[in-house]
Amino acid sequence: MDEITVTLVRSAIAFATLLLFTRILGKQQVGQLTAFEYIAGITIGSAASSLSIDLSTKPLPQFVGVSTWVVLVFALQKLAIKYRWFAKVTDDQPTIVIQQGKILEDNLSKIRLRYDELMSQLRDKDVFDITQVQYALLEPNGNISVLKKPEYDTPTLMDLKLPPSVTGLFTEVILDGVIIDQNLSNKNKSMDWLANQLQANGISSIKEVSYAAIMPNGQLYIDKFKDKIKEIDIGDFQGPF
Amino acid sequence: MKKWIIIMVSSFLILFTVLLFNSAGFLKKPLTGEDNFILALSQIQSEVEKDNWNEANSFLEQADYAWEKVKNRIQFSVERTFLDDIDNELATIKGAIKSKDFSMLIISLEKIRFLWSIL
Repeated sequence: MDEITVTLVRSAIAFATLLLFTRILGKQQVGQLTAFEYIAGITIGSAASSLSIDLSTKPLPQFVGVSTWVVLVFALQKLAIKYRWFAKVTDDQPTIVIQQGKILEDNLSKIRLRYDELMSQLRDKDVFDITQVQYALLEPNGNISVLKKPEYDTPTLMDLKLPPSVTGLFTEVILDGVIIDQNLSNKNKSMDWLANQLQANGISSIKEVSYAAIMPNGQLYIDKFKDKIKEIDIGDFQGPF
Repeated sequence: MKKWIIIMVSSFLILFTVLLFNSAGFLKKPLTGEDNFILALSQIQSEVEKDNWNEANSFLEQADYAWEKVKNRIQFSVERTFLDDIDNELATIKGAIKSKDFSMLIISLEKIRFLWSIL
């Protein structure tokens, strides 16, 4: 029983600590992390796990260990932003792996990237023909960036001289049957306007709406809790689940 | 305002964690009259030196009681193995008193005092 109490308390502290520290370290996605930051993240997680369940060691040194890693990674990020040369040293630089459709074997060898891995990463970028590539670079986060030759590039509306449609962000005004007043007033819309819109769509109560948002063109997108559609079974398994 | 509250809560969390994880040094000291573990151990030793084994046994019961109280307080900030080691040594002392084995009792008492000093 004692072990369970201690584990509960230590786990709660480790949970809160990890939550706080990950917020301090920022909102970079895993794909945007450099190799070092990725490994540092694993180390921090592993130390926090130890703090949570390893009762054979004192918790304070483990807490200090987690904190030290977080402070060092944070300092590294700050220094990399302030000093360009420091970022180059710690985060590495992009490496050109394909130039004018030709694979640069020396660079591949330097970064220890195999041909099949390169081809796989290119296919991941919808490039199946290497001759279409003008430049391909391996980024410090391990992803490949591809610049296609102009003749193989996807045409844009500007290339086709077509007028662009209105784009922008959806502004949520109802979530789970609750009106978000702040967003409504930010879009200069009144409650009466919202009520009229709902009424026009045959909705008598806000409680029927699971999600509603003002679209970039000013119209209201509405999704009700009860959608009158027949669900399509896309599974290839009879059940029971 | 909200940012200020978040900073305060976060700082409190870190401070609370550090204090809790560093509290054994303070919490192992006697806080009530019945939880003076080290005193009870000394009393066991002095009674045994006077060959009062029955008295030593009653002080061992006091030591057990005091240890349970202290253990509950310090369990969040110390190694579990050290707590188990002290439990084991107390069982050895119990056996030593039953068999009236003076040297074994002294060895166990010294082990507990060492473990106590590093808690």
